[in-house]
Amino acid sequence: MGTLTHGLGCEGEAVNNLKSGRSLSERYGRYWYKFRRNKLSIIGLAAIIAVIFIALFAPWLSPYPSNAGLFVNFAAAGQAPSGTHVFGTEEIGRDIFSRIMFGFQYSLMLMVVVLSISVAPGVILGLIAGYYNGRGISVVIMRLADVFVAVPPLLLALSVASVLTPSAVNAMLAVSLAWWPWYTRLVYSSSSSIRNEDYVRAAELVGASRWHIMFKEILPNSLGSILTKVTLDCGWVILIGASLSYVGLGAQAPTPDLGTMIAEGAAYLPAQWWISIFPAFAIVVVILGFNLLGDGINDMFSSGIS
Amino acid sequence: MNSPIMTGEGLKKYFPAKGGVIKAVDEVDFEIQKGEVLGVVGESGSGKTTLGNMIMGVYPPTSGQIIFNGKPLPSRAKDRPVQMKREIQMVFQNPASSLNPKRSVKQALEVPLKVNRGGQSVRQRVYELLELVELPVEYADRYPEELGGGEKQLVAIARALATNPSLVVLDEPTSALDVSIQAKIINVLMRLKDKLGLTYVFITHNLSLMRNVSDRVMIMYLGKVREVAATEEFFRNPLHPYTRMLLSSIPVVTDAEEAAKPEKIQSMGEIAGALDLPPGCSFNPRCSHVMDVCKTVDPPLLEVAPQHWCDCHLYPKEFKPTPTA
Amino acid sequence: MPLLEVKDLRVNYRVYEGTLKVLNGVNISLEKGEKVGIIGESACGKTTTVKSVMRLLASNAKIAGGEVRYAGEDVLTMAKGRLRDLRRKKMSMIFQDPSAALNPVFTIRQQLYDIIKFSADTRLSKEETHEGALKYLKEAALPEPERILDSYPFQLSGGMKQRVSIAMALVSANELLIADEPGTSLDVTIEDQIMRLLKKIVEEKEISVILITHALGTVKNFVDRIYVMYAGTIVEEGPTKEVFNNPQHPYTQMLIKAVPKLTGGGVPEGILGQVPSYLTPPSGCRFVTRCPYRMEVCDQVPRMYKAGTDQKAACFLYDEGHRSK
Repeated sequence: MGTLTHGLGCEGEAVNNLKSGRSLSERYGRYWYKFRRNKLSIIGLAAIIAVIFIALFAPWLSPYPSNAGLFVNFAAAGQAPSGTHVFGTEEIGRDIFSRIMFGFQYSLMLMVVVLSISVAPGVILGLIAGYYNGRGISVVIMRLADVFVAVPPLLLALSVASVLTPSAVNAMLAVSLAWWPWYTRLVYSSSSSIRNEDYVRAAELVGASRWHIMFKEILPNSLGSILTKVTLDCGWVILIGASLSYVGLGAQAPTPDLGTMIAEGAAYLPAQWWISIFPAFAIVVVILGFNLLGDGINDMFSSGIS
Repeated sequence: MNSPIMTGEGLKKYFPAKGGVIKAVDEVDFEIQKGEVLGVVGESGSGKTTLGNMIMGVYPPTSGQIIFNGKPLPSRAKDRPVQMKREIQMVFQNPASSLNPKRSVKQALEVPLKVNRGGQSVRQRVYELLELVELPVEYADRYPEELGGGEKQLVAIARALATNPSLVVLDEPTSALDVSIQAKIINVLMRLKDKLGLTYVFITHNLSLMRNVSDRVMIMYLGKVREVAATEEFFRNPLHPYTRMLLSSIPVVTDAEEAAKPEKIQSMGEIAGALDLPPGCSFNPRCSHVMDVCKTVDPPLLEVAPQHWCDCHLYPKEFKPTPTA
Repeated sequence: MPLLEVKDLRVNYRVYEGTLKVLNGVNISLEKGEKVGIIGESACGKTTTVKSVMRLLASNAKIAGGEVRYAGEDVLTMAKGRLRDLRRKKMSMIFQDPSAALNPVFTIRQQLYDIIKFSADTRLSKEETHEGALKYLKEAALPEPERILDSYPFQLSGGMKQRVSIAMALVSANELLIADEPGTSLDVTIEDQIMRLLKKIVEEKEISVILITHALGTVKNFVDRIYVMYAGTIVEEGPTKEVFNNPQHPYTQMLIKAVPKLTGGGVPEGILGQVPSYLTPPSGCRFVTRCPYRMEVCDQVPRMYKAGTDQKAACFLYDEGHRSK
């Protein structure tokens, strides 16, 4: 029967009969197929790859690497975009194009740190709450998460950052504190429904441990939605980080940071518009990129073949 | 008959609900003989799935108890000793949700094997289980999405058998499958039963299937057992008006089957809401033989013919009532 | 001229793996007032066939050939406005799951009123709309129509919901009603009621019906003629009684044999082997991979040959030239 063997049964009209031992590469090929069907996802992916590349190689790529730090050149201050300074220069003469390239470094670092601090605890707490759904421990975790969620993340980060001394590290801590409950809620809702699937009941019937059920049966089925949220959140974390910097509670001068740059340029609007607009545009590119990428990842994990 | 492997005594399961209680299972007694197939047949709301869940210890009965191999069975699965859990396994209705989509066949079968360590190597045993359910051993590395519905169900059966159970609860194992595939699964199940000396509690709505598979049939309606008899006797002499209505409603394919149906009792009315059961016999609003007594007195389940129990005021006419064991 | 004629219909689906060649030359015709059934197991193409008739195919489906004529007009190429008229006035569809067909956030009144307004040519007054609603609910044998109108779908039982969907379909189905497994999600006693009701209505109003189902017994007492589908092809057609009592195509024979019988006799082995992949279907007869009577000539596509007393089967066994073997 060879290629014709496709299982005893079939469900779903027309899309069945796709069953046969598939190799690993074919399995990933299907993910890629679902991802690339939406052109915007590709654009998002390209934008994010470009941003990461620029951030990593900023010292070599930027036209004026020295402008990243404390550098003063009043002779060139406040110049409009031109051939020598494509995005113009700011009030103390630093090249905005170069500073944006370095600014990506800080944004990406903030994003990586915040998400690595908040995702793991958020996910684990969500798993526990979902597994013990209806029991005391679940209620405690979820009410705690609700308290944090009730406060807008920017406000929470603001208050934390203002209590601590304003610094890049404290900004990251503050944002992380605002972020974990969203993962707890996401994983709670998916795991409490997966909890009732027959395969979880079957594992319980044969005496599998609760850790096995949480991490081997439930978690793998939540991964798709977690990954989608992580991607979408990358943009938001960067935005909140920039907002903190904008009000002076984030990265401090002379660290090149997109939020700080917008804040500094705001005083010169509208005459020297380029000082604020180009960093703002850079933030838009990053956020849009992550959002489009997130949509693509969502498509990848969504069921349905067509 | 020989000794029962499992008996249920006065089982009740009431669920609290807005505006009262739902009597999902109400005063049910049953007996399962070692090595038999007991068909538990009912429509939605009959309590057949709740009964299965109580056997599995998913939730404890409101009252009553289950005796397994002569010993009382702890009502919650988590209070049951590992040995007891291994003895009673279950196959679920929906092949799509009974296997974890992210885990391969081998990984699914390994779970019970690792929990219940035996002398053999795990891999060897996985292959044995696949051969047992008549699947090729290459399937060990496949994922559920690469299997057809029938194949998934065979893997689920293999997983249930991994702990060497003596009693398996089959909860509508083939109702989601096509008939040509159902036939294959049923045949595998029957061969396994003979080979491994299993006892099945076969929960289903399909009476035609039970005609061919079960040794005894137990009909449930609104939480109560309405009729129990050996399969031959049951189909030759269906007593309860509900049973007859059910039999007349079954769509059949051949004229011989049409002829085998009892006098036609046309189906009427709908199953009563679980919250406001009619007084007396809860089938009375749909019954074609309804009498005054049916609206006030709930009939007991009586042995109205040898080994044939029925709870209906029409009986016994000439039989001597004897309370059920 | 037949009311509906499907001629050599070919439909493909585009998926990641390639092109699924699902319908491979389907021919169906339906006279005015006639009731036909399309039976076959899941994924045999029966739903794709009727969806083509209603022009409701998924976006990745492509009509690769053939035509669908409704009263002589080509449905596949007709203008959107004309198609809308057909759907408003002439034909409608009942789906398998009544819960999915009714919008949960609106009352039956809102939903039924809307449909009645859409299908009317002139603006209806409130009273006229209401009268219409009552009329259709009455036709669907719904008691207490006022109470039903004020209910949300979740307040109704499955059987009630299916009656409401029938009432809704009747608004537009003046000529053709397509019923896709209308009783499958219901209990047998309720399904029996629904099917009897549906039959009564369509016979009284002389509506033509296409009933698709995998449950063979359901069609037996309902339709005049049957088409049996396998893997995207019609393998047999004929009067209902003949097809059930004297099936001609090997697939039909095996399918009917695989249904567990109320008369007992055990469960047969089913149909060995697997449905071929729509990606690489056999170039000739699509049943060839599972057929016990396979011949050399089966590499070619069989046409419909006269078979049995009154049937046609797509099988070379009924070709004069090959019958001797």
